[in-house]
Amino acid sequence: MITAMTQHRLLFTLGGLIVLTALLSLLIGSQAIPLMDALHESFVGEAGIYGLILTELRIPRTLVALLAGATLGLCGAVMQSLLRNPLASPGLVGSASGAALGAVITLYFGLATLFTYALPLGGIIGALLATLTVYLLAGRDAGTLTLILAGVAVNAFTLALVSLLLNLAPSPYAVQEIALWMLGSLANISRNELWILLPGTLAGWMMIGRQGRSLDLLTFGEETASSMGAELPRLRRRLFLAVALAVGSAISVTGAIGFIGLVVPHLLRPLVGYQPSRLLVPSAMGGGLLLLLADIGVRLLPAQGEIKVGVVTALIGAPFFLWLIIQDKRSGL
Amino acid sequence: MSAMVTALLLLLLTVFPATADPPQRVVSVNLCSDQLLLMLADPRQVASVSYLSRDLGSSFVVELAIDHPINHAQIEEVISYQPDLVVTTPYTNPRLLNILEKLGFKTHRLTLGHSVEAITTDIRQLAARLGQAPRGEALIRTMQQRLQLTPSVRHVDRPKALFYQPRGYTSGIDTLQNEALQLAGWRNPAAEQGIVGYVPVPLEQIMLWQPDTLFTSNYGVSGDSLAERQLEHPALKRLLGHQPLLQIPYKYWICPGPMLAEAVSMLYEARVGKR
Repeated sequence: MITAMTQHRLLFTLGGLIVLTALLSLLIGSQAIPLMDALHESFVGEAGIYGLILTELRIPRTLVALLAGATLGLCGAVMQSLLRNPLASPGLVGSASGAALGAVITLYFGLATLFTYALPLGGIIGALLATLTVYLLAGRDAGTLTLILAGVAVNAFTLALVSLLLNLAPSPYAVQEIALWMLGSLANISRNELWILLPGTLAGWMMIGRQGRSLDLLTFGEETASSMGAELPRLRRRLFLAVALAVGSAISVTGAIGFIGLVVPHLLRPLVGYQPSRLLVPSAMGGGLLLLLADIGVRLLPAQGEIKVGVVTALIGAPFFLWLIIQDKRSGL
Repeated sequence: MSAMVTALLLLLLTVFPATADPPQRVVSVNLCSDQLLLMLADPRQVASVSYLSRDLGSSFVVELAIDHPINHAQIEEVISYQPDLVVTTPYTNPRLLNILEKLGFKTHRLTLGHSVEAITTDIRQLAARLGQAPRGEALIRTMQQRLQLTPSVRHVDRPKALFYQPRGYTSGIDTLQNEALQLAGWRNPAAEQGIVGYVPVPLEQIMLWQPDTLFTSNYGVSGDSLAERQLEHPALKRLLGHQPLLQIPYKYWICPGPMLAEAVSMLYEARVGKR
C-alpha cells in the first residue's frame, strides 16, 4: 500500500520540477533576452522592452501551458476512472476535438466578438456534446474496443467539421488555422487568453476535486459502488460537466492538444497505488509539466514559424500509446 | 532627358517594328496585368480581364473593369476571345502559357518587380506594346510627381517602422512595402537585418526591433480569426504606447503599379503627423 509519505514525496517532486521548468520557460524564447534586465524592468524599474517580453509574452504563455496541461492530465485521470477504461482520455473520447469545433464555430462566425466568454462557452458546449455522443454510442462500461471505435468516429467527424467550417469562414486567414485547431499551439498567447481560460478550468477543477472518493468506490464495479453509497448517475453527470468546463475552456484557447490526457495518468498510476483519488492531483501536475516541456521543445526547434505543440505531444504520446497496446496484449486483455 | 526619350524610342522601334499594328483584342488573366492594361489601353483594345479586377477589396480599376467581359484564367475562356495579345505575369500558370504558345498566341509578360524602377519599366514596355506610349509616359510622370512630394530624409533622422500582418508576417528587402517605407522616409529594421521578402517573424523579434510605428494591411473583408487577433496582443499595444496599428489597404500592395505612389504618401503623412 502506498503511504501518505510517498504520496507527499511524489507531489513535492512534481512541484519542484514544475517550478524549475517554469523558470526555464521564462528564459527560453525565440529571441535571447537578458533575464536580469527583464526582471528588473518588470518589477522594479521602468517598463522596457525586455520587461514587456517577460510579462506580456513569456509569463502568460507559461501559465497557460501549465493550466491547459493540468486540465488535460486531470481530466484524463477522471475519464479513465469514471469509464473504468485506460484509454478514455479527453483526446480519445472526443472532448478535445469537440471543444475545438465549438471554439471554431464561435470564433470564425463572429460570435466571439459579442462577449469575451462566448469563445470558451462554445468550447464547453462542444466538448460536452462530443463526450456525450461517444458515451451514448459506446454505452456504459463499454469495452475498450467499442470505446475507441466510437471515439475514432466522433473525432473524425468533429475534425472534418472543423476543417469544413474553417473553409467556409468569412476570414481569409481561417483556412490556414486548421493545423492550429487540430494540433494545438501556445504561440502568441497573451493575458487575454489567460483570462478566457481561467474561470472555466478552475470551475471544472473544483467540481472534480470533491469526487475522489466516489471514483475510488467505482474501482469495485458499479453495483458495489452503488451499494456503498455512490450516486452514480449524479456522479457521471457532474464529472462530464466538469470535464467539459475545464477541457472546453482550455482547448478553446490552445486548440486540440493530444495525448497528454492519455499518457500522464498512465505514467503516474503505478506511483499512487492505482487509487483514483490519489491520482487526480499528480495527474494535473504531471499534465502541466509535460505540456510546458513540450512547449519549450517547440520554441527550441529551429523552424520558420513555430511548430505546433501538438506535434511534439503526439511524437511523445503516439509511441507510448502503441506501447500501451502491446502491454495490453501481453497481459491478455 | 530628351536624349533618353529618343534612345528609348529607337530601342522600341527595333524591338517592335512599326509595321506591327497595335493589338485590338487584348486579354489579361491576372489582377496585376488587368490593372496596368486597363490603365494604359484604349477600352476598345481590351477583350477580357480577370474576375479579380472587379473585386473592390483588391482592385484599383473596378470602374474601368466593369465594362469588360471577365475570365478565370481558364485556357478555353482565353482562347474564345481570339486574343491578338495575352498579357501575363511571372505568376501565370505555366501550363496555360505553354498551351497559348503552342497555339501561336502572342503574349506579353510583365516583370512585376518590387521597385519604382521595375514599375516604370513594366508600364513603359506594356504601353509600347499596346501602341500607347504617350499614355505610358503620362502615367509614369504622374507617379513620379506624386513621389517627389515626399522629400528625402537623412538616415539618422528616420523613425523606425515595420509592417506587421495577420499571422505575424513582416516585409523585408525586395517587397513593395519596404520600397514604400524607404521612399516615405522610414527605416525598416527588418530590411536592415537582412530579412528578404515577406516572412513570418516571432512577436519577440518585433518587440526587440522597437519600431516607432507598426503598419498593417489586412487582406479582403476581414472576419474574426486568430491571425487577426494576433495584431491586438497587449504586448504590441504597450510597445506602441497604445497608438493603433495603422492600416493601409491591401490593394496598394497586392500588385506593383503606379498606386504605390499613393501608398508612399500615406506612409509619409503618418511619419510627418507623428512629429
